[in-house]
Amino acid sequence: MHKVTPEVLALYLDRPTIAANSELASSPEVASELADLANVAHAIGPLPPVELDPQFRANGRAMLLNLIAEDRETRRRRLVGRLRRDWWTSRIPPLPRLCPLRLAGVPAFGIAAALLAMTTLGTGVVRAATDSLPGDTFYPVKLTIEGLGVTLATSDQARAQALVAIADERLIEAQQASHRGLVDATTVASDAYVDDVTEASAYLARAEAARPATALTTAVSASLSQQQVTLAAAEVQAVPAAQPALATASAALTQTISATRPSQSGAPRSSAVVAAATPLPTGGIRAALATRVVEPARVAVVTATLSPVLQPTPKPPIVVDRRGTDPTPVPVVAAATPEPTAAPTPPPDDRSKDDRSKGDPPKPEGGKANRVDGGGKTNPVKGDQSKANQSKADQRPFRRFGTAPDLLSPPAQHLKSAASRQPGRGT
Amino acid sequence: MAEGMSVQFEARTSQTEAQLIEAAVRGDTRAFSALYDLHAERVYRHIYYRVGNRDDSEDLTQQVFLQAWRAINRYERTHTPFIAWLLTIAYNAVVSFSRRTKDITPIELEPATHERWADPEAETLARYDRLAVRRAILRLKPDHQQVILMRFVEYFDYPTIAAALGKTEGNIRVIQHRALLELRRLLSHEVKG
Repeated sequence: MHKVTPEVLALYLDRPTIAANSELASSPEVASELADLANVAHAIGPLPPVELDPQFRANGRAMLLNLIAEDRETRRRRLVGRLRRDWWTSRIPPLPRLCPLRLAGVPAFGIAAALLAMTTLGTGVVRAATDSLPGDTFYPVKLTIEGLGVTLATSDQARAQALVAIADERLIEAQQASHRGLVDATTVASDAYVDDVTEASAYLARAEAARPATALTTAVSASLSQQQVTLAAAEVQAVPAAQPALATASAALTQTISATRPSQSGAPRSSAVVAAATPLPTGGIRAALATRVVEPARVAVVTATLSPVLQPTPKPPIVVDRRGTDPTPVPVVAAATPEPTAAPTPPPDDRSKDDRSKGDPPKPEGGKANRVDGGGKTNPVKGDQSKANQSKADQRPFRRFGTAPDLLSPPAQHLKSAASRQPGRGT
Repeated sequence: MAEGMSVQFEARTSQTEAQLIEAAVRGDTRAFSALYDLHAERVYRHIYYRVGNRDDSEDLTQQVFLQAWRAINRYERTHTPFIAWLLTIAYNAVVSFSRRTKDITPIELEPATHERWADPEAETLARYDRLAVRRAILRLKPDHQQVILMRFVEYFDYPTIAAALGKTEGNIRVIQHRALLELRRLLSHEVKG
């Protein structure tokens, strides 16, 4: 005996004539049942049309765009919050006074983080974290692991090297996120990149002040200049929504490069003075990269465009600042870069010696809050976030950990290795 | 001839939609708002049939599009028509809404329509039938409602419904069968009542 199955019913509803003539519908009970259910289905069909309220139709789109804008900002803040979350550093007690590690300048939370990373995190998690992007689950793990190098570094030079390596990683993340169309992640990565570069520059300046290390400065400067080329290319290739963040990073990087390059006095120039004296990235760079496809030849053109800016300049005479007690030589900027506008000289580093000995780098002025994006508009949200981060940064001597590459090796080699990691990662 | 033109129009529309989706995936809000213009009415209608309240339907429509914006990066992996994907989000939104407001019964049962009936008697009968069917659909289980609406109101085929709901085609046919049986039972009660 036949009965109505879902398949028979579906066939009957789609092609009633075929199903009705088939063997399955030969039984009167089955035929009756099929016809009955088909009537129910047909009763559903002519449901009356529901018209959207004209007012809702007119306003709904604008309301949706507002909701999207709010949602995007909320998610971006959450990403930044995850990036900067450092609550655990204040909960770890300090090391004993005579502990060798403490004497070596290693803070307790650095050791705690290292132990935590080694004991609780499996290699799978670490591997997953390595390829993560801002917003991914394991991204905080990646930040913690990379920051170990900075925390465990015992000299300002090593910290600067580690931070430049971390900045390189942020740049790769920004590129990858931009390539995938992840605007929020691109913004977060490029903001973090600027922070890392700025911090590295500050450590480098202090290292230079303590003991001139022109080789290190030149290596860092070369690395940053290569990163600038990469950043310019990434900006051109990015989706429109992600371009302002990359443009902001590019502008900030140009200022930092000028501050980092070896000056005539052999000491790095003050960031604030350089920020006022150095023009923003030239339009020629982006004009040279205006086409979406960046060929090696074009990169060479960009490098050639940048080379006059990036090459070390002759050392200016040293002028010792007698106003403060800091013996750091203050170079005469006008001798290196003739600029008509007299930028205010930054106040002398009036922090106590103890503060400085804790490893807190001198904070460069003209931070992210005052930075201007590519469109010439100040981002108020970014400014607020930057202020909050700045106040956090003032309270903590170190932010992250990481392994430092050998920046004294040829810079092209270092960046080549970074570039070789890039295409296959995160997929 | 007319069928060929219709196919061409459909192809052009879907091509445009694909371009809009691609732009929206890359973060273009204007492209997404164009997608909103294309599908808002259909999503609204789908929600309205299940919620039965204009204000709630409008809120849920906005919510569906906001969730779609958040998850649009994942859309390409589903390989379903965009509207089917939206209706799946709408289905989940309505289920969630029903859980929150299970004590509230829809009060606005008569849909707003500008239909004009020439014959008042036919209008009364049709309205009675419509109301009975709608009331019966609202009493179905959520997944039964979804399949019935996607199949007999939106006219999606089985593969699309299956892909949208994450079920097999056979499963969709089974749900359709059970839903029609249940609907028939509810309608017979309506008639008796």
